[in-house]
Amino acid sequence: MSTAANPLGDLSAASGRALKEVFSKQLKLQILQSPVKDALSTFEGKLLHSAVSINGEKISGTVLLQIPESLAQWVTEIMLGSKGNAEEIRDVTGELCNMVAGRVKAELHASGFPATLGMPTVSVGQRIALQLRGEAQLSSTDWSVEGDQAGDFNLQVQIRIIS
Amino acid sequence: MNPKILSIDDSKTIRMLLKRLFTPFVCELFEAGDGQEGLEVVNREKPDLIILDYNMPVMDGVTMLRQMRENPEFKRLPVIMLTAEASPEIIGTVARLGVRDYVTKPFDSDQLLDKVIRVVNLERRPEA
Repeated sequence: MSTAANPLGDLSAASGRALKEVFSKQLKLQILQSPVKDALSTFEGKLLHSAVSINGEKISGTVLLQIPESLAQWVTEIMLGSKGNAEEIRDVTGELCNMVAGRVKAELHASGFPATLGMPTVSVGQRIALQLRGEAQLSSTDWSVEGDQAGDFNLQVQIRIIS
Repeated sequence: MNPKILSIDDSKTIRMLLKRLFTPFVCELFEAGDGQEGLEVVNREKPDLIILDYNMPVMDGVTMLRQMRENPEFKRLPVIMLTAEASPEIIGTVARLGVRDYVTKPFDSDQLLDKVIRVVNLERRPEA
């Protein structure tokens, strides 16, 4: 809920709700917030990063989803019903981030900050962290799929009110 | 005649997901990656139903819908929106353009199938 002191509302809670909805509805998977802070900082494998921009008259921001390649392969198989090739795995990762961004955007709209989504971009590499700029709010949360060892994954949302 | 369904989405994932959803049914599925390509397929194939995304490169779903409705032949062509976009303004705009239903991503495949079956007659393929 937004307040005068925090007009954007609780970004961590909003992004958590969005992520849980995407995993449960689209993938039929339950996810849990990881008790380990910054769980991906020691991860040495390949990560897929997917980012979607959120821009409106009053806000500007980014939703960034980072998931281990093994987890991306698994969710691709669930979504498409077969092992995907590299391009398909990237596309699934981008689409998941797009869905999360869509839900976050809907919550921002309800708080009085209408915006539009950019196209998802996907890259592969090591963990990256969004930097807090100016008056921006930044939420970074780590998650894991319940009952699975495919590895933790990370969701970052940064939103800045344009003054 | 088998029903023709056109999926217009820039996400290959969504197009593949819909292909998987409709494979058990007797129908012809066509795909397009943006609104411009979608208009070309509409003119060529004259589908019975379009499943349309909003946010796409080249031409978005609302622009495509507006242009398609200008052709009297496609004035009443059923369209179901399938999009991550859930703003009341967009929902209102597409409702005025005669969209049959609106499904937001993430979505439940069975619920989407129910909405499709309300528009086109889908029969299961005989088991091989």
